[in-house]
Amino acid sequence: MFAMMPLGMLTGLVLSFIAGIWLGAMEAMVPIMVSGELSGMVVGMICAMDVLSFRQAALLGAASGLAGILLVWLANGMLRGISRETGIG
Amino acid sequence: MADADTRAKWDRIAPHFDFMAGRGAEARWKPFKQQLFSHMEGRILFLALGTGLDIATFPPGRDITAIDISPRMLEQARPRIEAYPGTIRTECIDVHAMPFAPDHFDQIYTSCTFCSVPRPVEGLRALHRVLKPGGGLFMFEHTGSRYYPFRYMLNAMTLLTERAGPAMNRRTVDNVRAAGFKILEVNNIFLDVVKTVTAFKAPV
Repeated sequence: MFAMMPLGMLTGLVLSFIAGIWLGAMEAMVPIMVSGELSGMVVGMICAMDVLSFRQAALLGAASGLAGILLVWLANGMLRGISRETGIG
Repeated sequence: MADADTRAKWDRIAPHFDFMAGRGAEARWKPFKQQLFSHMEGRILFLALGTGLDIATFPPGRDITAIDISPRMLEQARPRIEAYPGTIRTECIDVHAMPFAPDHFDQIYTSCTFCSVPRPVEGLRALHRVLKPGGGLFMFEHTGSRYYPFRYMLNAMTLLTERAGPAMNRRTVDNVRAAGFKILEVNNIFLDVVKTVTAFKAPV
Protein backbone atom coordinates (compact mmCIF):
# COMPACT_ATOMS: atom_id res chain seq x y z
CA MET A 1 0.00 0.00 0.00
CA PHE A 2 2.73 2.44 0.95
CA ALA A 3 4.62 1.63 -2.25
CA MET A 4 1.50 2.20 -4.37
CA MET A 5 0.81 5.63 -2.87
CA PRO A 6 3.95 7.32 -4.25
CA LEU A 7 3.50 5.39 -7.51
CA GLY A 8 -0.02 6.78 -7.88
CA MET A 9 1.25 10.20 -6.92
CA LEU A 10 4.05 10.00 -9.48
CA THR A 11 1.61 8.96 -12.21
CA GLY A 12 -0.65 11.82 -11.12
CA LEU A 13 2.32 14.18 -11.19
CA VAL A 14 3.20 13.35 -14.80
CA LEU A 15 -0.43 13.55 -15.95
CA SER A 16 -1.00 16.73 -13.96
CA PHE A 17 1.69 18.61 -15.85
CA ILE A 18 0.13 17.69 -19.18
CA ALA A 19 -3.38 18.54 -17.97
CA GLY A 20 -2.16 21.70 -16.22
CA ILE A 21 -1.12 23.24 -19.52
CA TRP A 22 -4.55 22.88 -21.06
CA LEU A 23 -6.96 23.00 -18.15
CA GLY A 24 -5.62 25.67 -15.83
CA ALA A 25 -2.37 24.92 -14.00
CA MET A 26 -2.92 24.34 -10.27
CA GLU A 27 -6.67 23.83 -10.62
CA ALA A 28 -5.93 20.81 -12.80
CA MET A 29 -2.64 19.68 -11.30
CA VAL A 30 -3.72 19.42 -7.67
CA PRO A 31 -6.91 17.34 -8.22
CA ILE A 32 -5.10 14.99 -10.59
CA MET A 33 -2.35 14.41 -8.06
CA VAL A 34 -4.84 13.80 -5.24
CA SER A 35 -6.69 11.37 -7.52
CA GLY A 36 -3.47 9.56 -8.33
CA GLU A 37 -2.48 9.34 -4.69
CA LEU A 38 -5.88 8.11 -3.50
CA SER A 39 -6.24 5.59 -6.36
CA GLY A 40 -2.75 4.25 -5.74
CA MET A 41 -3.44 3.92 -2.04
CA VAL A 42 -6.84 2.23 -2.35
CA VAL A 43 -5.93 -0.16 -5.18
CA GLY A 44 -2.63 -1.01 -3.48
CA MET A 45 -4.35 -1.68 -0.18
CA ILE A 46 -7.05 -3.93 -1.69
CA CYS A 47 -4.49 -5.78 -3.86
CA ALA A 48 -2.48 -6.56 -0.77
CA MET A 49 -5.52 -8.27 0.79
CA ASP A 50 -7.22 -9.90 -2.18
CA VAL A 51 -6.67 -10.87 -5.83
CA LEU A 52 -8.22 -8.31 -8.18
CA SER A 53 -8.88 -8.64 -11.91
CA PHE A 54 -7.62 -5.80 -14.10
CA ARG A 55 -11.20 -4.59 -14.58
CA GLN A 56 -11.91 -4.56 -10.86
CA ALA A 57 -8.67 -2.70 -10.14
CA ALA A 58 -9.39 -0.17 -12.90
CA LEU A 59 -12.93 0.47 -11.60
CA LEU A 60 -11.70 0.79 -8.04
CA GLY A 61 -8.97 3.17 -9.18
CA ALA A 62 -11.44 5.27 -11.16
CA ALA A 63 -13.87 5.45 -8.23
CA SER A 64 -11.07 6.48 -5.86
CA GLY A 65 -9.86 9.04 -8.38
CA LEU A 66 -13.33 10.59 -8.55
CA ALA A 67 -13.43 10.64 -4.76
CA GLY A 68 -10.09 12.49 -4.84
CA ILE A 69 -11.52 15.14 -7.16
CA LEU A 70 -14.56 15.48 -4.87
CA LEU A 71 -12.23 15.89 -1.89
CA VAL A 72 -10.37 18.73 -3.60
CA TRP A 73 -13.64 20.39 -4.59
CA LEU A 74 -14.87 20.26 -0.98
CA ALA A 75 -11.53 21.51 0.37
CA ASN A 76 -11.59 24.36 -2.14
CA GLY A 77 -15.06 25.35 -0.95
CA MET A 78 -13.74 25.57 2.60
CA LEU A 79 -10.44 27.32 1.93
CA ARG A 80 -11.19 29.86 -0.76
CA GLY A 81 -12.22 33.37 0.10
CA ILE A 82 -10.86 36.56 1.59
CA SER A 83 -9.07 36.82 4.90
CA ARG A 84 -7.70 40.00 6.37
CA GLU A 85 -4.60 40.31 8.52
CA THR A 86 -4.11 36.54 8.83
CA GLY A 87 -1.12 34.30 8.28
CA ILE A 88 -2.24 31.99 5.49
CA GLY A 89 0.43 30.27 3.45
CA MET B 1 20.73 29.23 -7.29
CA ALA B 2 22.95 32.01 -8.62
CA ASP B 3 21.22 34.86 -10.43
CA ALA B 4 23.09 34.00 -13.65
CA ASP B 5 21.61 30.50 -13.43
CA THR B 6 18.14 31.98 -12.91
CA ARG B 7 18.58 34.17 -15.97
CA ALA B 8 19.80 31.23 -18.06
CA LYS B 9 16.86 29.10 -16.90
CA TRP B 10 14.25 31.68 -17.92
CA ASP B 11 16.07 32.47 -21.17
CA ARG B 12 15.84 28.77 -22.00
CA ILE B 13 12.12 28.60 -21.19
CA ALA B 14 11.18 31.90 -22.94
CA PRO B 15 10.33 30.49 -26.42
CA HIS B 16 8.00 27.84 -24.90
CA PHE B 17 6.62 29.86 -22.00
CA ASP B 18 3.37 30.94 -23.66
CA PHE B 19 2.58 27.34 -24.58
CA MET B 20 3.24 26.17 -21.02
CA ALA B 21 1.51 28.97 -19.15
CA GLY B 22 -0.68 30.79 -21.58
CA ARG B 23 -3.69 28.58 -22.01
CA GLY B 24 -5.68 27.14 -19.16
CA ALA B 25 -4.07 29.08 -16.37
CA GLU B 26 -4.36 32.47 -18.03
CA ALA B 27 -7.97 31.88 -19.08
CA ARG B 28 -8.88 30.80 -15.56
CA TRP B 29 -6.98 33.54 -13.72
CA LYS B 30 -7.70 36.48 -16.03
CA PRO B 31 -10.71 37.92 -14.10
CA PHE B 32 -8.80 37.79 -10.80
CA LYS B 33 -5.77 39.50 -12.33
CA GLN B 34 -7.96 42.13 -13.97
CA GLN B 35 -9.56 42.85 -10.60
CA LEU B 36 -6.17 43.12 -8.85
CA PHE B 37 -4.53 45.23 -11.56
CA SER B 38 -7.54 47.56 -11.72
CA HIS B 39 -5.99 49.32 -8.68
CA MET B 40 -3.01 50.49 -10.77
CA GLU B 41 -2.33 54.17 -10.13
CA GLY B 42 0.64 56.54 -9.99
CA ARG B 43 4.21 55.36 -10.51
CA ILE B 44 4.00 51.60 -10.95
CA LEU B 45 6.61 48.85 -10.85
CA PHE B 46 5.63 45.52 -12.40
CA LEU B 47 7.94 42.72 -11.42
CA ALA B 48 8.87 39.89 -13.78
CA LEU B 49 6.92 40.84 -16.90
CA GLY B 50 7.92 37.60 -18.62
CA THR B 51 6.47 37.27 -22.10
CA GLY B 52 3.87 39.90 -21.24
CA LEU B 53 0.89 37.60 -20.85
CA ASP B 54 -0.40 39.83 -18.04
CA ILE B 55 -0.46 42.97 -20.19
CA ALA B 56 -3.91 42.00 -21.50
CA THR B 57 -5.22 42.39 -17.96
CA PHE B 58 -3.70 45.86 -17.30
CA PRO B 59 -6.08 48.84 -17.30
CA PRO B 60 -5.33 51.18 -20.23
CA GLY B 61 -3.39 54.43 -19.99
CA ARG B 62 -1.05 53.57 -17.13
CA ASP B 63 2.64 54.42 -16.85
CA ILE B 64 4.41 51.22 -15.88
CA THR B 65 8.02 50.27 -15.31
CA ALA B 66 8.35 46.52 -15.91
CA ILE B 67 11.43 44.50 -15.08
CA ASP B 68 12.49 40.95 -15.83
CA ILE B 69 15.70 39.03 -15.28
CA SER B 70 15.54 37.38 -18.71
CA PRO B 71 16.28 39.37 -21.90
CA ARG B 72 14.70 36.63 -24.03
CA MET B 73 11.47 36.88 -22.07
CA LEU B 74 11.36 40.63 -22.73
CA GLU B 75 12.02 40.02 -26.42
CA GLN B 76 8.99 37.73 -26.50
CA ALA B 77 6.96 40.41 -24.69
CA ARG B 78 7.77 43.14 -27.24
CA PRO B 79 4.61 42.82 -29.45
CA ARG B 80 2.35 42.88 -26.36
CA ILE B 81 4.18 45.91 -24.94
CA GLU B 82 3.77 47.76 -28.25
CA ALA B 83 0.07 46.91 -28.38
CA TYR B 84 -0.62 48.23 -24.85
CA PRO B 85 -2.58 51.54 -24.87
CA GLY B 86 -0.34 53.22 -22.31
CA THR B 87 3.36 53.27 -21.45
CA ILE B 88 5.41 50.24 -20.44
CA ARG B 89 9.15 50.80 -19.99
CA THR B 90 11.13 47.60 -19.63
CA GLU B 91 14.43 47.00 -17.89
CA CYS B 92 16.32 43.73 -17.85
CA ILE B 93 17.39 43.60 -14.22
CA ASP B 94 17.32 41.30 -11.25
CA VAL B 95 15.01 42.18 -8.36
CA HIS B 96 17.96 41.73 -6.00
CA ALA B 97 19.89 44.49 -7.78
CA MET B 98 17.34 47.12 -8.75
CA PRO B 99 18.92 50.51 -9.44
CA PHE B 100 15.85 52.55 -8.44
CA ALA B 101 16.03 55.18 -5.71
CA PRO B 102 14.46 54.38 -2.32
CA ASP B 103 10.73 55.22 -1.99
CA HIS B 104 10.47 55.59 -5.78
CA PHE B 105 7.23 53.76 -6.65
CA ASP B 106 3.64 54.31 -5.53
CA GLN B 107 2.66 50.72 -6.18
CA ILE B 108 4.32 47.40 -6.98
CA TYR B 109 2.65 44.48 -8.75
CA THR B 110 3.74 40.88 -9.12
CA SER B 111 2.18 37.99 -11.00
CA CYS B 112 3.40 34.45 -10.31
CA THR B 113 6.80 35.89 -9.52
CA PHE B 114 7.84 34.88 -6.03
CA CYS B 115 7.62 31.19 -6.90
CA SER B 116 10.75 31.85 -8.94
CA VAL B 117 12.80 34.52 -7.18
CA PRO B 118 15.77 32.58 -5.72
CA ARG B 119 15.90 34.46 -2.40
CA PRO B 120 12.28 35.55 -1.86
CA VAL B 121 12.59 37.47 1.42
CA GLU B 122 15.61 39.37 0.09
CA GLY B 123 13.72 40.12 -3.12
CA LEU B 124 10.73 41.37 -1.15
CA ARG B 125 13.01 43.54 1.00
CA ALA B 126 14.34 45.07 -2.23
CA LEU B 127 10.73 45.88 -3.21
CA HIS B 128 10.11 47.33 0.25
CA ARG B 129 13.08 49.66 -0.28
CA VAL B 130 11.84 51.12 -3.58
CA LEU B 131 8.19 51.45 -2.49
CA LYS B 132 7.01 54.76 -1.01
CA PRO B 133 5.83 54.67 2.61
CA GLY B 134 2.11 53.95 2.51
CA GLY B 135 2.50 52.45 -0.99
CA GLY B 136 0.81 49.20 -1.95
CA LEU B 137 2.16 45.79 -2.90
CA PHE B 138 -0.32 43.77 -4.99
CA MET B 139 0.54 40.16 -5.69
CA PHE B 140 -1.05 37.35 -7.68
CA GLU B 141 0.87 34.26 -6.61
CA HIS B 142 0.72 30.52 -6.17
CA THR B 143 2.18 29.23 -2.95
CA GLY B 144 2.56 26.09 -0.92
CA SER B 145 -0.37 24.86 1.16
CA ARG B 146 -0.66 24.51 4.92
CA TYR B 147 -2.85 21.43 4.60
CA TYR B 148 -2.32 17.71 3.99
CA PRO B 149 -2.24 16.21 1.35
CA PHE B 150 -1.71 19.37 -0.69
CA ARG B 151 1.41 20.44 1.20
CA TYR B 152 3.20 17.15 0.49
CA MET B 153 2.12 17.07 -3.14
CA LEU B 154 3.35 20.58 -3.76
CA ASN B 155 6.66 19.69 -2.08
CA ALA B 156 6.92 16.66 -4.40
CA MET B 157 6.06 18.77 -7.45
CA THR B 158 8.73 21.28 -6.49
CA LEU B 159 11.46 18.63 -6.76
CA LEU B 160 10.68 18.49 -10.49
CA THR B 161 9.42 21.98 -11.31
CA GLU B 162 12.25 23.89 -9.67
CA ARG B 163 14.72 22.52 -12.21
CA ALA B 164 12.79 23.93 -15.14
CA GLY B 165 10.84 26.81 -13.63
CA PRO B 166 8.99 27.76 -10.46
CA ALA B 167 8.87 26.30 -6.95
CA MET B 168 5.39 25.17 -5.87
CA ASN B 169 5.85 25.27 -2.10
CA ARG B 170 6.80 28.84 -1.20
CA ARG B 171 5.34 30.48 1.92
CA THR B 172 4.90 33.82 0.20
CA VAL B 173 2.54 35.48 2.68
CA ASP B 174 4.95 34.75 5.53
CA ASN B 175 7.80 36.04 3.35
CA VAL B 176 5.92 39.29 2.63
CA ARG B 177 5.50 39.81 6.35
CA ALA B 178 9.15 38.91 7.02
CA ALA B 179 10.25 41.54 4.50
CA GLY B 180 8.57 44.26 6.55
CA PHE B 181 5.23 44.73 4.73
CA LYS B 182 1.90 44.90 6.52
CA ILE B 183 -0.64 42.46 5.09
CA LEU B 184 -4.02 43.97 4.32
CA GLU B 185 -5.79 41.11 2.63
CA VAL B 186 -5.25 37.57 1.35
CA ASN B 187 -7.79 36.25 -1.14
CA ASN B 188 -7.57 32.50 -1.71
CA ILE B 189 -8.66 31.79 -5.28
CA PHE B 190 -7.98 28.06 -5.36
CA LEU B 191 -7.52 26.19 -2.07
CA ASP B 192 -4.89 28.13 -0.14
CA VAL B 193 -2.57 27.73 -3.15
CA VAL B 194 -3.54 30.35 -5.74
CA LYS B 195 -4.12 33.71 -4.11
CA THR B 196 -3.92 37.46 -4.29
CA VAL B 197 -2.07 39.30 -1.53
CA THR B 198 -2.49 42.99 -0.79
CA ALA B 199 0.08 44.56 1.51
CA PHE B 200 1.55 47.99 2.17
CA LYS B 201 4.69 49.64 3.44
CA ALA B 202 3.97 51.29 6.75
CA PRO B 203 4.07 55.11 6.59
CA VAL B 204 7.01 56.67 8.42
